[in-house]
Amino acid sequence: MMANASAAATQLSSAPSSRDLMVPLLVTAPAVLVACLLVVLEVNRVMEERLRPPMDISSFAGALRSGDYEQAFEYLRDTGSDANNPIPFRDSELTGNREVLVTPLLIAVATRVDNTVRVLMGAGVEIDAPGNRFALCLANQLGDTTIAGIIAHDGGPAAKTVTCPAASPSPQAPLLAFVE
Amino acid sequence: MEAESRRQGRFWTTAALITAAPLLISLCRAMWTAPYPISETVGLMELAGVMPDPNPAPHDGVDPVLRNIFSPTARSWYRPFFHLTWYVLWHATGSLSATLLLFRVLEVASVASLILLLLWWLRPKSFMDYAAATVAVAVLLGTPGLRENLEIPMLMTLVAMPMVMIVWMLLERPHVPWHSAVIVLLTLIAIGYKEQGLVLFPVIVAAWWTRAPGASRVATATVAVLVLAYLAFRFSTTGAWQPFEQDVGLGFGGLSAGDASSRFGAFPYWMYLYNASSTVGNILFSEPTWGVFRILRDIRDAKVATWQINELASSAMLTALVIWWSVRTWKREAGTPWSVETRLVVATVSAIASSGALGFNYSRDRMGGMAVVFLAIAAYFAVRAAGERIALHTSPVRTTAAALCLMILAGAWQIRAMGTIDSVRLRAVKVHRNWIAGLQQRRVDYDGHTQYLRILNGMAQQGFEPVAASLYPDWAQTILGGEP
Repeated sequence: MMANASAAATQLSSAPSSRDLMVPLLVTAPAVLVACLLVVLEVNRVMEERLRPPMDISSFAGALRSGDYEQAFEYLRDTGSDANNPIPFRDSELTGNREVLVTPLLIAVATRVDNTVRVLMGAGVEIDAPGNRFALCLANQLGDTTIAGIIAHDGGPAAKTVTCPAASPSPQAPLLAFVE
Repeated sequence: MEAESRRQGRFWTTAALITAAPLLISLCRAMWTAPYPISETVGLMELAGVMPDPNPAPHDGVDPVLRNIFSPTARSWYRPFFHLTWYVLWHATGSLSATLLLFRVLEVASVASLILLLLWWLRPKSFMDYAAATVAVAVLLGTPGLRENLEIPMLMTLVAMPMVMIVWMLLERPHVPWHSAVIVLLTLIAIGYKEQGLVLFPVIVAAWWTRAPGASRVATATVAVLVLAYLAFRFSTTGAWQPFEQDVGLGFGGLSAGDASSRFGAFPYWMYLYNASSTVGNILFSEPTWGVFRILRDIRDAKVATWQINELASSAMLTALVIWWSVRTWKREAGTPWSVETRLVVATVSAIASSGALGFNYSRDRMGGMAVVFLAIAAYFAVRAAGERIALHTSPVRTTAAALCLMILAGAWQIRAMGTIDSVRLRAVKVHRNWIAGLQQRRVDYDGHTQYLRILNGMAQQGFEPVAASLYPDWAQTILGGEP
């Protein structure tokens, strides 16, 4: 006969009373509660994923502006967009509320979120592409040595060939000075 | 009567499986969608010869990669089967994505089979058994020893945990010759994956000493010879080992390996004892972690989080309960033949002590992985014994109070089990962020390392895939303690 855990059980001879049931009921309650909670949360998560609307270009710009680099990446991944392409962008602090066509990298540099810059560098940004050429210049002008370092490092040899225009970003709209 | 008992057994076992299913499925789903990290994985695959140079240099017949995998002097640790798993999967499939997929299957199957084997062996036959089984599952999932072993792709101990469960099941079954062969084989495989597999040796010896039906003298002797040969082999090839190979914790802080070597290198044995005790302490009390008394430090600094209190209190309560059950069982069965329960007491002590001993050089939570299987089984018996004892109380007030204490203990461990699943999710998010924000830096840093870059770029897609983030709001995470 196979030995198992229950073989060692102390047999209770009497029929189960309410007290006999109370202990296992109380001990089991958290497990049942957790099981039900997990089912609800997991189903809810699946439903949320299915019902979530796809991102559009304005939410991509919004993600870049707010520094939500994961969402920005999600847009590039899901749409297959070229990270070098300029996108329409308007912001009261960065463009003086003017709508301009600007590359994601320049927005990322202007917002000074280093992880957004890293994401874009990994997503195939060419540092010598027309709209990106002055990203390093903007970072230097803003005095952001971390971001300048990332562009110089991740941009490879192309980052060393950049010649900056004689522009100085306005505090009201720093991005405009480097938009091509 | 026997048919009725079987029917009851099937009912409660099914109920236990159904209750554990959401935890298990949620954990497996989190592990399934978790990306492989850049650091560790790419280097490990490079070591195992994945995506090698298409035009390799000629060699004398034995693949230099294999030679390196089995070399005892190449690294201070020796985990040839772990590296061999990558090697075999790569050579069998020739595809990076298939290799990653199969490795993930192995990882998820290890944890799933561990929980299923535990429930299969416990096979609850009554309501109280069922209640105790739900606690045992939560204990297994909620311990730091399991949690830290869920890190993908570090399956060295995780893969051995179902093996220790199988070995224990076979030791408790009537002796059949092929069982002995399986026990020896699983012990060898577990040791080949990681040194922690050695925990099986004292467990098997303890089972034989306590006359477990499946512990034959031949199997025990064979395992003993193999383990002694393994130890002789390892100690004869220790060559350039430093007194401390990794950073160590001490008190409320830590020391780098170099600092520890210079400070304690002349007589490292007290520090070894501290490290071993730390691992034991972590198994029993969830403190210290990596040799550092983090919870006590945070209590001192008034920075303690709810999850830390929960971990310390629930571990202490469970350990007290297991000690009470062990002493009670020992006293009750004194002078009688060894039983499942008395054997389990000896095996649990052996597994915890040997896990501590194997952590002599540095303490990590994951080193308790093999022992927590026994802790979970012991928790089952302890909770069941306590439940049966409480039901016998004559005072309704005392009964209710004691039952509520058990419920609090069970609830605390369920929260910890949820925290374990959340830790897998949170780690996955971290790894995903590292892929999307750190890939280009790696590419530039490893420019010229062609094999590394081939693997890195081949793995990028899985790092980019969406990950399952935490299911809980921030306030709940402070209770669950999932932050890896």
